[in-house]
This record gives sequence, C-alpha cells and structure tokens, in this order.
Amino acid sequence: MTAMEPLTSNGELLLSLNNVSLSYSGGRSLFKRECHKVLDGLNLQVHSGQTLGIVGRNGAGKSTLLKLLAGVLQPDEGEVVHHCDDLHVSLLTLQLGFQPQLTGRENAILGCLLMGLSRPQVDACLDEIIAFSGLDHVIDQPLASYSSGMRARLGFSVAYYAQAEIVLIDEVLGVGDHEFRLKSREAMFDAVCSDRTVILVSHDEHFMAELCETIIWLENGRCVMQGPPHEVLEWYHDYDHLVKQLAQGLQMTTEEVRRHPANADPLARLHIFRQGLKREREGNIATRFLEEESGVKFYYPGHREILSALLVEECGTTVWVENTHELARGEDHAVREAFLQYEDLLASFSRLSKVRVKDVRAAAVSQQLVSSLHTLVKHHRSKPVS
Amino acid sequence: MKFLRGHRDLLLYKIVADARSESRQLYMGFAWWIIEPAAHMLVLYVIFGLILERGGPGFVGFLLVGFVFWRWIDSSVKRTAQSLVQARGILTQSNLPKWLFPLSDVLSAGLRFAVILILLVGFAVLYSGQFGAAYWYLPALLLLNLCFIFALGMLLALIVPYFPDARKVIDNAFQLLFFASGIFFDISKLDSAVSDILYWNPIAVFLSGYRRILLDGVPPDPQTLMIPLFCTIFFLALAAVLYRLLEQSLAKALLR
Repeated sequence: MTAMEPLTSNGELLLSLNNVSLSYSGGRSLFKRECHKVLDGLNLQVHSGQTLGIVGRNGAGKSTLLKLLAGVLQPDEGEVVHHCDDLHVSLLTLQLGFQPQLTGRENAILGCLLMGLSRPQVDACLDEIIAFSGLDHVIDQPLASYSSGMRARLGFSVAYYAQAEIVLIDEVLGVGDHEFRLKSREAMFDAVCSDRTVILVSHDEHFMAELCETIIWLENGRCVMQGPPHEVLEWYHDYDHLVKQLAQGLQMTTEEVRRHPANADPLARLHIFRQGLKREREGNIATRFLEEESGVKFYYPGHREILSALLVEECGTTVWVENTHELARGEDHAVREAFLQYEDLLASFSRLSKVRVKDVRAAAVSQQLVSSLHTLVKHHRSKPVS
Repeated sequence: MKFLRGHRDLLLYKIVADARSESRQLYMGFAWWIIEPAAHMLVLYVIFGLILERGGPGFVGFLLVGFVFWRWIDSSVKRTAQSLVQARGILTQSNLPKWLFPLSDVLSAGLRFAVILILLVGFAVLYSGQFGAAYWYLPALLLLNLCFIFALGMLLALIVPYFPDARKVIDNAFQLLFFASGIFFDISKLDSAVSDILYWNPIAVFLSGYRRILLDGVPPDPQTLMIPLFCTIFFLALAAVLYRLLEQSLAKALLR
C-alpha cells in the first residue's frame, strides 16, 4: 500500500482531511516573518473502530496533525470534514490544566472538566480514576508533593477516563513505573479492542505495530506511506538509516538531508537505493565487500549511487566516505575510479598479508593510510609470493 | 446562555480552583483577601487622614472609595488581558471555547473583590453616617462595571496573543488612566471644559457613581452612565465578532 491509496476500513467514515496544509509563522518582528509549512497537502480518512498509528521523526507534523483532528488548529488550506453530527474528538493530554497547589483529587476533577466531562460524569468516575492511578493514599495531598511519575500516573488516569468517540494519543504511553506502564498499556489495548477509534502517535514502534492496524508515515508534513504496520515501519527505518548515512557522507545534518529537494519523495529515494543495491550485488563491483564487510560506514554502491545522484543533481560532486572519514570529493567519475582502485588495493593487500579485508579497511582511515597501502602493495608485489 | 450552560461546571470549578491555588501559595491563605484591602485602606487613612490632613473633610472616604474601585478595575482588566496567554497550555491542547478563560478571570477577581466590597460598604456607612435608598443602585452599577471589565478584558485578551506588545501599551494606558480617573481629585470641581473631557473616561464615571452612592447617598447620574454603557456594548459586540473571526487561528497564535 502506498501514500496515494486510501485506507480501507469496514467502519463508518467519521472524519476526513482533504488536501490539508498548515504553516506556522515564526518570530516576532514587524520586519521579518518566517513561515514554516508543517502539513502539506495531507489527505486522510478516519473510520469508526479504526486504530491508526502515525510515525515520523520529530517535527514531521505528527502532533500538529492530531491537533488538527482535535479541532484545536484549523488548516490554512484544504478542509477537515466531520461526517457525523456532534462528533467528539479528544486529544488525550497528560496533566491538562494541572496546578501544583491543588490536591490530586482537585486536579483530577479539573482535568476531567477541561477534557469535556460534566460534573456529574466526573463524580461518577472519580473513584475509578483514583483507583486506576493507584494514588489513593496521597490523593488529598498537593500535586507539588508528587513525583513526576506520580503526576504522570494521575494525568494518564484522568486522560484515559475522559475519552471520546475518537481518541487521539500523543506520546503518552510508558509513563510511571513498570507496573503502571503495564497497566496503562493494558488500558490502551482495551480501548483499541472496544469500538472506539484511536489515533496514536508514539516512538514505541513495537507497541504501535502490536496495537495499530494501519500506520501512516509522515515526512515533512506529507504522508509518505500508509499501510500495514510492519511494511510501513520497515520502509520508515530504511529511510531513517539512509538519511543518517547520507548526512554523515555529505556533512549535512539529518534535517538538511530530509528537507533536501532531492528527497522530496522518500519512497522514490528508497527505491533507487534498493535497486542500486540489488544491481551492485548482481554486478561485480565490490560484491564481496557488501556481503561480509560491515566495517564500511558509508561507501558501498547502493549508498554511493544515491549520494552521487543527490550530489550530482545539486552540486555536481560525489563524496567518498570510508570509516566516517571523507577520502575524496569531486566529479563522480574521478571519485568512482579512485574508489575502485582502492577496493583493488584492499583486496590485493588482504590476499598478500593474509589479513581480512574488513580489518584492512578498518585500519585505512585516512588519505595517508591509502598512500601507505599503495607503498605496501608495491613492496609486496616486488617479492615473489610464497 | 446556552453556550454558558454547557461549560458552567468547568467555569465554576475553575474559579474555585484558581482561588484555592492562589491562597495555598501563602501561609495565611484566604485571610489575605481581607488583610490586603484592609491594610491598603488603613495606609491611605493614616497618610491622608491623619498625617497629611489633605483634601479637607471627607477626603479620606473620597480617596478610599476611588482607590478601592480603581484597584478592582485595574487588576481585573490587566489579569483578564493575560488570560488567553496564561491558558496557552490548555488552549493549544484542547478545543475549549476561548471566552471561558477571560470570563473565569473576571469572575475570580470579582469574587475576591466581593470581600473587599463588604468591608468598604461597612466603612462607608460608618464614615458617611447614612445607608439610604441610593444603595439600591449599587448592584446595578456593579453589574455594569463587571460587564465593562469583562468586555474590555475579553477584547484585550484576544489582542495580546497576536500583538504581545499590547501588554506594554495596556500598562501605560492604565498608568495614564490612574491619573485621569479622579482618584485623588474631584473631577466635577475642575473647569467644565476639562471635566467634560475627563468624563469620557468610563472609569471616571464609575468612580463618581460609587462615590455618589456610598458617600453622598444619591444615585449616580444616569446621563453620564451612558458612556460606560455604550463602551461596554461596543466592546462586547467587537469582542464577539473578533472571537468568532479569530477563534480558529488563536491556538496557532498562542503556539508562536
């Protein structure tokens, strides 16, 4: 399943986002106004009973998307359509409106009221909230005397009991001690198993994979992919890995690499990478190294191809990185030639010295070592091989 | 009223919770609600009534009434102007109606003022030696004043997130109003050209009305009350339009 395909669900359509874009303006100056696009042409449909996970790096637009769904923010372009009257969408927020001077009980009441419950509803579930939090013994003490874990437990309990038809959960799992974490996870499982619609943002991918039937991958405010959790998470991780290596090789930050125009379509980029890797594996360039050499930090053909494509498109430069050190930078053909010579040298040296290629590569961390390698190989070649 | 009913529980509990939270930050808690205004009144009485003997007979009462009501208006409007910014954590996470927060702050300040008012009325009765029919006008004037504070506070609360510098403007404007509202002097005794201008200030009209009721035992001048009434209606209407227009983008402004 890809980004363009709509989600399928048997449930009734509750909410849809049609080509939604949203920007934040930064800075407070009369003369300078910067706009930062957080969501860009996003389409999404939410059905009843669905459990949807959202993954993406920090700043990808996950929390903004939840705020948009909750009605806290409104889109600059596009529309958010509620397909049911009086649809109650609630963003599960820990410690919403909590005040340190108030007691745990008072904060629980205030939190529930802020999350949309009426006073009779709060009174009806207050005892359950307190029991769930496991803070019965300190509930009438000021919140200021609670540890951060205790506050989180109370916050989670309040948020969990103040649920709506669509529950939006943003990074709130895994609070409190081990016992409470298990309890809160169990509660989440119960919510998912009920007919509630749950949209979940978390960096706990294992839990997401377990809990969600569909995962959406957001990158630069766009939906890159949506589909079964394991499939989406695999691509997401591959891209994450690739970005880190490209950033290392290009001496850029990962953020710069991600926002680079050449990476506007991460899936296309990953396709190139995977195809390049396959082609190089099938071919004869450094095949042996791919299979056995984990010491190569950056430069193996699949990576090089993307790096090369990226650099040639942008600045006509290719970089050769070995064990995190940049060994060459220049035109693609020149760098490629140097690389192939180097691979030959490594192979020859390994053969002659009976040292594994991996170890030779690990030692050859600089230009000086490359030249030493030349000398050594010449020296060995001048001797008869025993 | 329908929209208010939907959030009545929250509004009432928030007012109580804010008061409790504020009082628990101090050792003497709620006692400060009485001690603070009583101390202010005492200080003004000692300085102006006993030490300086300024302003002639009745000046202490004149000053106290003006000062106490001024403090209510000044602190309520300034606090309400900050209400949306103060509630940033809630408003950027929850889709609650924005007007709830200015209203809650106005009512919290009003609750606190109610204690001071009881003290002030007691003082005024003793000081002026009268408790006549004019006192019936006091609730109406207080209600109008409360609405004026709410209307102005609502409007300013909406402006501050978009234009944070408004805080400085508000502080300076109230500094100016402090000297232009007739707290230390009787506007009616000034040259008519000057007093006519100063009575365009709704706060001056309110202070004059309170003094007439509490000290002179006469009802406020209905003609001059038209100015605060008109301002209240205008501010309320403007706030209602602006809240409708800007409610959607307010959370984004608060996130900046």
